[in-house]
Amino acid sequence: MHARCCCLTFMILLVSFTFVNAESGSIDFDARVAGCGDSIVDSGEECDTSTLSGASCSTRGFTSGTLSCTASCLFDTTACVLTNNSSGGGGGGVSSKKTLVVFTGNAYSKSIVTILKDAQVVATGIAGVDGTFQINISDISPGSYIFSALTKDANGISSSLLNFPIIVKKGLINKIDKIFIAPSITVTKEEVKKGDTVDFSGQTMPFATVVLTITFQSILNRATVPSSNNYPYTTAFTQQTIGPATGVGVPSLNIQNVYTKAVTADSSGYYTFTLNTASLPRGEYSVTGKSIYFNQFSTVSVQQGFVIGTENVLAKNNVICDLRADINADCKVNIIDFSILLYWVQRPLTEPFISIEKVKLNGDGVVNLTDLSIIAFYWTG
Amino acid sequence: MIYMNTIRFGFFCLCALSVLASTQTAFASTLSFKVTHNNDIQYKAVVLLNTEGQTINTISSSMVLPASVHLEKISVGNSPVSLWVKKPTTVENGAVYFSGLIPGGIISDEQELFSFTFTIEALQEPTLVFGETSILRNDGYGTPTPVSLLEKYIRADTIPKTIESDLIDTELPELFIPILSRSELSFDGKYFVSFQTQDKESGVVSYRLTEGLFDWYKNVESPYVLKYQSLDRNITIQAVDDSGNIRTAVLLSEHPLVWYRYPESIAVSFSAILLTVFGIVFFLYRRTKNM
Repeated sequence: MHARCCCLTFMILLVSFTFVNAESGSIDFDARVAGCGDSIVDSGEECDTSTLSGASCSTRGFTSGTLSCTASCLFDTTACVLTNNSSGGGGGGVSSKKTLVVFTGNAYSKSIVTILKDAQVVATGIAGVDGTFQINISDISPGSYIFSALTKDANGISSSLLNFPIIVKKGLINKIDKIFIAPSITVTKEEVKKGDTVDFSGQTMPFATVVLTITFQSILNRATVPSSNNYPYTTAFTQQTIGPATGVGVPSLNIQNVYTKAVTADSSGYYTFTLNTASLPRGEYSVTGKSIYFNQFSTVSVQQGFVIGTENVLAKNNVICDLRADINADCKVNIIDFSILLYWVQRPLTEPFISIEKVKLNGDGVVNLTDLSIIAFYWTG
Repeated sequence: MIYMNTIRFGFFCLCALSVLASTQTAFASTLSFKVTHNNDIQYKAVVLLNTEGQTINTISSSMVLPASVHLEKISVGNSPVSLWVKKPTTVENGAVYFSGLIPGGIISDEQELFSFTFTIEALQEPTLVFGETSILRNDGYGTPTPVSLLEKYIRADTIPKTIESDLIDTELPELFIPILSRSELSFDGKYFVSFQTQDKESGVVSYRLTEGLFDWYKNVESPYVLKYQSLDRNITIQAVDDSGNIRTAVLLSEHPLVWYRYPESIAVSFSAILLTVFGIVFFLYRRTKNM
């Protein structure tokens, strides 16, 4: 009798625990998809407007602050705070005397400036209307660091990464000043029909002068432009155009195949330049920008490419997430992209990844050191 | 006369070649060793990079250690390499391989990549050399730079002695934020966590990770594919430096299991109940038998 009673109790307990276990939930952390902006976190979205699906700064690894959602339905952690109070142990953890690193310089008007410490985002700040910014980092151990600064323009185009290798000294205010972030730059056309115009635009510090450098790279390699079949030119480019680069709309190239043009940014830091390609030979070109403000010089911008050919092909509209080396298309080039690449090192690539490698990396069908170097160049943290 | 002209022509060619060679090496990134004598038996070598005015962002190389050299410890604490593809840790087939990235690039005429301490067998005068090396420019294309590799012949009486105070590393590794992610492109679409930090004194030597309450810490490397893909457990990652200091980072689950809902806790509870039930049955049986 007693034994039967015990067995019954045991069965009831077993069934009840089975049901309890079946209630356990799961979370979706996936990447973005259409439907962004409807306040519903669809498959592929991290968040949607104010709907954060229970996420917070702490669930994203920060100490405190306010998590928000970007227009692309990605988590925005710029208002999250990371402080030096996470648990530690082992051999000690005696905190050092307060050490400070202060970053000051010029970015774009009202842009968010991001500071990276050894390739990881460590702080953000907002530049003033005049483009100046100051960001302080405290609670940092003394030692040798590579700090980096970058920003995005009003259209979400990233500047190039600017590195500062410094040795942080204990108990001192370590200053990194006169930072001058390179201008952003976009090109309106991937290919421009010879004789038509192509626009270059971007943002820099208000009223700065942007020196655009347009460089002839090579006579068109047909394999790189799939939409056309026949380019009837074979003349050596250097023999066609020699002379200093001056004038608007009638550019010419000097002996190094380089055409330069200085334009002045407006009060918000926007600049634009229209290039007439009538006098330029067909081929592949690159364009970079460098800002000058009084006696200060920025570094060189990210390089953009375009082709002078036989037809007009507009650049992709979705420039925000068209970042080279952004493997998982989350608008960042960071440790996730690095992790995905590590997975493919010394593995045969699958068809889907081959197409991504072709567009985002060097397109040689394998993942190797060259692809990692491209990731390092386009790094945003 | 013809003989003199031949000599002059030969001299001219030699000069031209030497100028060409010097031009070539002027643009070559250089790897070298700087060796000092720590004490009577121990040496310290620093692997140095000179980028010769170019900005580089990727390096891959190896250093070949002769059999008479016994590696003791490698420190990457002062390295500018923040993302290691292959961290220099151990000797494999007589060489220490290393490769990694410096996002944004670096330009330097004497940059420490890492350092190591070693001993040498008595009466031996070994030479440290580098193996196959690639150094890539920070130009968005991964263009290789010419490389110059300088070997180091070690003869005890020519190595300078340094007195290094034994500083105790009490600093924790740097703060870090692990990132949880999933991509159809890798790891069979499974969730994985990526993490990286540095320790500026003795260097990070290992990472340890647990998933949930009932997991043991295990040594892992980034990226780590999660064992529990339902994401209902907090993930705790510890970075441990060479002095044993530990920096802990926690990724909180957005819908964490309460303790009694863990399968492990259910198993424990179930076992406890089972033992209790059998205990009661045994007690009643003994009591009935005694009556």
